[in-house]
Amino acid sequence: MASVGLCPMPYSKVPTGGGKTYLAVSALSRLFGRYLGKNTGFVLWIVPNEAIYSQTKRQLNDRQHPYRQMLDRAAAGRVRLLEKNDQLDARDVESHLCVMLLMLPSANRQTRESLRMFRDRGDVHGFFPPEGDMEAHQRTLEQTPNLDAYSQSAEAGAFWPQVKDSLGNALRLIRPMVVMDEGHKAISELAFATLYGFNPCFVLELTATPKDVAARGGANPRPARHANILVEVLGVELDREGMIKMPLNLDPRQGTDWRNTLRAALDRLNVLDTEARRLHGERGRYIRPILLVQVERTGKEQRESGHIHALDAKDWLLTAGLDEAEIAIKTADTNELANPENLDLLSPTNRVRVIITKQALQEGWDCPFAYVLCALAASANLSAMTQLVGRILRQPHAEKTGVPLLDECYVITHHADTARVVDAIKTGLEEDGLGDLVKEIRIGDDGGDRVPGIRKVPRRDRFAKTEIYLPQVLSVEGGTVRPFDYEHDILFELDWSAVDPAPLVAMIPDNAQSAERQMRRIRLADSGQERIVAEVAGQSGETLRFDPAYAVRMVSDIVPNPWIAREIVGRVLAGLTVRGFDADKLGTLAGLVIEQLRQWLDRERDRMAEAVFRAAVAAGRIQFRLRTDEKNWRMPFEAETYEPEDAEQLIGKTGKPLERSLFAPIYKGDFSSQDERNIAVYLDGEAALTWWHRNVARRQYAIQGWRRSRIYPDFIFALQRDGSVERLVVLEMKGPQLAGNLDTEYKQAVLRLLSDHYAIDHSPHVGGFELVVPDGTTVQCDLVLMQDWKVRLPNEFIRK
Amino acid sequence: MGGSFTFCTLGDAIEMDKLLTGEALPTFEQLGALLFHTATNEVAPNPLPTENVEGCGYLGESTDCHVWLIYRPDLEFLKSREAALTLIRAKALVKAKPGKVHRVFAPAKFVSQKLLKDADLPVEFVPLPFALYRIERD
Repeated sequence: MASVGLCPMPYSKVPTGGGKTYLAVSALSRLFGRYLGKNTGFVLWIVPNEAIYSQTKRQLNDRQHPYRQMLDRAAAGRVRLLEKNDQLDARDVESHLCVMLLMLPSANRQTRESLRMFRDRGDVHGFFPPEGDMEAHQRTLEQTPNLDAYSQSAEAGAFWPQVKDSLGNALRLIRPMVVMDEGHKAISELAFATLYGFNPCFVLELTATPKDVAARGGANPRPARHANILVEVLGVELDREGMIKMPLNLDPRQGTDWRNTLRAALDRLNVLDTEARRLHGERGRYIRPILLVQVERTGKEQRESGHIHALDAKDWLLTAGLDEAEIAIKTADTNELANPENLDLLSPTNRVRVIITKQALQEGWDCPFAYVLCALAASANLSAMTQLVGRILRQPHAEKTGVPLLDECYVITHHADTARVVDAIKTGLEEDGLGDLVKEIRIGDDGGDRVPGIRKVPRRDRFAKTEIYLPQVLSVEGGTVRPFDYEHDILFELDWSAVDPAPLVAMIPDNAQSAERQMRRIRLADSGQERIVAEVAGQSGETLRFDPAYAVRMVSDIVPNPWIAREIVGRVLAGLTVRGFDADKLGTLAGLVIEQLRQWLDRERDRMAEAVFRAAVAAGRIQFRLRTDEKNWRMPFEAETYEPEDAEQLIGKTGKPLERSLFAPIYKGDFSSQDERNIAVYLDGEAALTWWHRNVARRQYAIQGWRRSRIYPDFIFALQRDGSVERLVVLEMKGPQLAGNLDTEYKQAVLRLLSDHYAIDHSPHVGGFELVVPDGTTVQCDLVLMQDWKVRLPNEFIRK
Repeated sequence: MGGSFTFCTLGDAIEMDKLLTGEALPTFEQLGALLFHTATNEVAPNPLPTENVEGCGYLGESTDCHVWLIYRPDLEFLKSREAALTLIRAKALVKAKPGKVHRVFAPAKFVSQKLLKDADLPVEFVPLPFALYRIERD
């Protein structure tokens, strides 16, 4: 332990799927180039288990692999990859960049395997003095005191110490650079001591979940060890880069027949498969979605025990139409993934679509193609499910496909308590360093109302009794005032009869061809120049017909009245017929026409809705006012949080607790990004502010505009000016990547419009109790891009 | 041998697209009897009641709901805003026949389920003409 602290030991916290290996390799190249200033040396690369060992070995051995190429570049082409039993020569270390892969158990001194590491052996050359030169041995030992040596004490019968020719000793002398993959596995005292016993010159630890080791008192006291986190990569950042599949869709099935659950999973897989094939067809990007099935039993004798057995699941899948080759079972004693044809799951020639397992897929087994987890044993073995959740997170090729279905992952559970499943998934994500993404879990079906671990957070004492009101978008008709209703106040007003689909008709290309419908026959000809003849063998069997009723149904969510929709469809068809489309062609292009029609109608609706909304605002039929008659939105007196009591709280700029948040305490986990936390901290430090509040989407304050979905602003804060006059600011934040997109522009337009038409309404209110709205209270709503807030907040919203 | 038989006369076929184009619109009574059956799984009262509340035709009452239909065999009417369930209509229906859930068949609705719920109106909208092809049994 004496050597701890003698070398830099930074930690990088990188979630699963975040490119740990890439970071390690590029860090090595920097470290050798800048820190050590040489391009030869020794790297001890410690991995936690067999799966990661073989994966890393494969990658580093492959000269075509980018990781290996980065190393090659750092070492000017002289890289030697070693394993622990390989011969080691001091000259290699001097002239090459040696990378030795080691599994964590081998570095652990107490196990049998590891003893080999410290055993005297004949093939470690050139590090220690020749055997007879006892004085030199003595000197070596003095220079590096923690070398293993044949004891210098008299009891061993030696007057002179002799250093062992062991790999361990060689490492101690070399002072290697150490890379610890999954560093949190090596926090036991033994592992720690062994690791630092190698006298490393630099320890780079990479992990998803850094662990601090608490101090220990008692007979054998130890100081606390804290993970020295240098870089923390957040789940949202990975999500933003499109490296992981998010959101995670949870479908907790409550039925009693597990086959139904498996069928749902298979259905999901088939849907994904169709999408993936289309993607492959369109862009040549190959993805073969894989379903992971977690069963209750896998052992040979356990089949009749009434539990869900791997073979039962396999039999069912076979009857459901899957091929034997498409199903692989991975259990303690059967590993079909190790079959030669199954080794590379990412290969297009691989056929595996379903992997059945109990809990045998370790960490480090990560197949980006795994999309669906069907946890049939969720109720019995929740912890195994927790582990498996992390296995479906990696996005294929670390790049989003643009197809929403293929950018998300799916968990389907059988007969398990939804709340517990959500907890387990949360734990799973946390173990993979993605704890900040827990809010991204979507629960399908009925699980919505039972939210786990929700707690109430009270108002700050100062505001415990303060009534806070915000204006709502209200519809005023004659004397009645009620919240603005999208369907009633917008959809009703839209005049579809005025819609002319001529632009749409003109847009449909007449040469659009759906290629996959053509059947071709390729045959060999006996004579002639062309020996291989491809000919069109007519249309594929089905004849397609444009079904107007179907088209009407497809747009029924946009155009509410089917008779009007039918009229529009009729006009489109008539227009296309005039352009010379016959029934056959319309049938072939039905998909395209309907898709274009939907998009066009959607735009038309938004255009008309905006006009209606603006007109109504101008005429005062839609109002955005603080009123004295209770028709305001009332800030609740309790907020909710998912964070546990002892979660880390957000801390103010000065290092003290927050002072101006409306609710207290505020946890770090309540925010979805670091930017939001920064804004919160900034607002809290602003003396002009009375309070601020992070608005909770879908539960708290919302603004209805001319689209169906409501706008949930992110921040609300109050400013005090000239004593009593209050100013409320409502802000929606958007990431820079969303600047200029349609949704952002829509939200900004709505917020500004309402902000411009804000007023205080002193309408007399009979029979109710009158609210006191301080005169001169103003409300300002706007949208701010994340990159602008540092400038815009102080300039526009706080000092004005 | 014994037993008995029932003699039925089938009406004209109802074809979705002809319904939508207005080419073949069934009468209020034909459609009403059919819809009452699909909505309740009970036989429609014969003859249908002639009650009309705020433009909604009353089809009768089953064990658990009142059934209403907003319909005229007139294409212009069906396309108009008149042919829709609105908040005002929902209120009128509940006032006229309190006690049971109201199931309203109509071409469109211009009131959200949330608004109905907030206003404490037990009214369910069933879209025409698609409802004809979906037999709802709760």
